[in-house]
Amino acid sequence: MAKFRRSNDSVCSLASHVLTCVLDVSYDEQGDVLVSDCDDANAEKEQVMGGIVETGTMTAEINDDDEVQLGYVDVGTSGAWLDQPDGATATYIQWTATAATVSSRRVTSSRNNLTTYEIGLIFSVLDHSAISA
Amino acid sequence: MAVKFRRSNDSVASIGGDALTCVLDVSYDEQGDVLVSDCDNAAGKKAQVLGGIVRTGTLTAEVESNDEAQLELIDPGNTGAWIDRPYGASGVEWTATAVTVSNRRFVSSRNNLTTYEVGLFFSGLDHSSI
Repeated sequence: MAKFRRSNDSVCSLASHVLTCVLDVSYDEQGDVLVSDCDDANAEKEQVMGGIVETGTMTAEINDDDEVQLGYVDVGTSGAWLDQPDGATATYIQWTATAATVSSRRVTSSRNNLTTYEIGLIFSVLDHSAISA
Repeated sequence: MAVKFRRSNDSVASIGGDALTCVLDVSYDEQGDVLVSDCDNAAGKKAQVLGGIVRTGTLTAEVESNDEAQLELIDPGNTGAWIDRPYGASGVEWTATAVTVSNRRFVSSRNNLTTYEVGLFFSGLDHSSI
């Protein structure tokens, strides 16, 4: 077992298009928590789990002649999602989704930093699994 | 002799009897409603009454590349008995009849080790001495 960070072994694709030089990916799974006010005095309130919204973000560097990468992450683009953050080795963690849709994008070019983009993602059927042999 | 302490590899945290590994931090938030009376006159001090209490928490941990099983333990919606012994097998422990994972944030980055943070809500949260 090993701690890990993203590297050039990482694999990330949207609709089977490989996304290059991905710096970070985050997954946010936010459940509604429904709180009862039916208890008396200062008793502990009952809490019930509600629906879950699955979203994420991804940041990547971009090269000057790689406009095609931007075409892969246009707002509204949708397709199957695959993320193998420590690479494609069997038994390693991977995240998949039946569909990821790009909900937002921010491209920043600056004199002080390399040019990057950040996208917001919404997922349908996001799941994690161990990569099979 | 009493000692200050921090979490270490002696610490124990589990959901439903399944141990969580490399837990970096755990927090408990117990937030009571404070009901404030507006019945006092002029610049009198308002009476305040404690209402119901909501008990939630967060947990952050590192995750290893081939330990997808850890992620299974903390899927949103998972629930089970909670045990947290931050100093190990002695000292303070926190228990709950049930804890439920309400949200999760998993982050992999080129600049940091991969971690997850989960939000928790509790039923019957209590602390005791082991």
